[in-house]
Amino acid sequence: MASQNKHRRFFRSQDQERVKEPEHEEIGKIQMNTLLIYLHDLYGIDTKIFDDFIFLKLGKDVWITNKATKNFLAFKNKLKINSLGIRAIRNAFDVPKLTTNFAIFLNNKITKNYYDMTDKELDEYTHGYEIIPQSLEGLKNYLIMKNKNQVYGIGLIIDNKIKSQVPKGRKLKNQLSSNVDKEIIDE
Amino acid sequence: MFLPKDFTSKMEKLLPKEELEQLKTAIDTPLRKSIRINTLRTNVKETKESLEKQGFILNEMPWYKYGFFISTQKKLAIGNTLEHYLGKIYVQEASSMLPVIALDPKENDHILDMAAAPGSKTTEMAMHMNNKGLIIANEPSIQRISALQENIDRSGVLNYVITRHDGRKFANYPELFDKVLLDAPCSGEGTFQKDVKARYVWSQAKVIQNSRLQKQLIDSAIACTKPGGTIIYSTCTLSPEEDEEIIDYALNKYNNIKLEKIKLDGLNTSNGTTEYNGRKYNDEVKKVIKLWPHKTNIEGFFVAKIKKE
Repeated sequence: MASQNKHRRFFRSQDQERVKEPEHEEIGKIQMNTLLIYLHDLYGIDTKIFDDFIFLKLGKDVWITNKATKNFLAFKNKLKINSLGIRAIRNAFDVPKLTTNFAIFLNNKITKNYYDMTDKELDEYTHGYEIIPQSLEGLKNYLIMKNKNQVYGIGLIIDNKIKSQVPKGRKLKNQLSSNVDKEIIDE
Repeated sequence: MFLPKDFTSKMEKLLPKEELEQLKTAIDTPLRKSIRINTLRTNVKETKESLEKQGFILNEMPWYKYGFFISTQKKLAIGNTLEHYLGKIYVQEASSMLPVIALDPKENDHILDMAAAPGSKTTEMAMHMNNKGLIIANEPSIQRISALQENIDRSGVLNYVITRHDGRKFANYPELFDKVLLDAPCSGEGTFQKDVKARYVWSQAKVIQNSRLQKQLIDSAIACTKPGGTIIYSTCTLSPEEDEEIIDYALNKYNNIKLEKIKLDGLNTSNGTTEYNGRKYNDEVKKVIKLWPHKTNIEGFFVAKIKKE
């Protein structure tokens, strides 16, 4: 037991209890199937594209990385691994939500459950504003936000509106493009 | 313009008088902005055209087909473009792209980026590796890891593991990596041009302190590289104590390493100094490249390519 404890790392919780630091674990076959069915059925993704990747679990979230990483995980007891690959799905086995990065990574592999934004809507979406769509027929949460065949992230349907799920740090911070012309300096 | 007195007297020893004035003028000139087009997310032609349509002027770097100097006549911020949002471009100093060019990462390489934050070189390597192989992006400072993570995520990199260790620890993993990039922590004299604050926090004592750490880091880098592997040592500083002296130290200590020349077309690079402050360095040190801002019109930088036999 001593040798196991030697490499085990702990951190202190708020009440000063020793809590083991969570580690990435490769997900089992049953959970893997659940994920693949979810990605296929909701987003129309041909799951063969994941053959060269592995999915790992950390807490409630699932991460995706390439197979070369797997060999390196053998070192996990010796090296402090902070993160690896792309965080793909949050709350994967409860209320799953694709992350913006994973949606952009998949891009045109997503063939279902997407909303095609107009240029004006794209501008609003990337600035973090909600969109009032003409139709939401056949769309389910969480839906993919596209414009001209390019995925930009995730949207959440609330009260017939699509709420932008763009992470705070990623939102565009300039004025909406309808106002951009005013910014141009006279040459 | 403020420049630390000790820094100026050091440069007097390294440069002829007229060049010293040119260096001072260069430090006081605004730096050209540059970007790298990220082929993990896009192709060069499409993104170049898209940015030009928006009013940006892009000039390709002669030594790197993914690097562009960028300017605009309009009040546009590159960070607020959809290309940046999608990670199709990475705002990166021209000189910071050079260590990866010299390292020449290949698909399926196992590479250690020993001091990885904020991630410009990690993401550049992943791009050259086409998201294959593996990069261990190590960063000892927890505060700097969030920026590293954000840049990796935005660039669509997945062939990486972020570790949080003192780089010296990697000496415990002998011959593990095909290639090692040691972009060492340094006094940042090359950044004086864009970062006035760096001029005020600079001191010769810090240069010496860095030099000591850099020698320990290069020991570690050499130890964890496989025989036949490559180590790139780079800094964004000009002091020989942090540049040539480190390479001289390594060459004198290890008999299984040698230096390789670095070729960068269209960039006016200088050879390494072989004599400084009464000290004579190993003649091989000439093979390193030094980028003086007044000669290259980009940030000051230092790159050495070491081959382990």
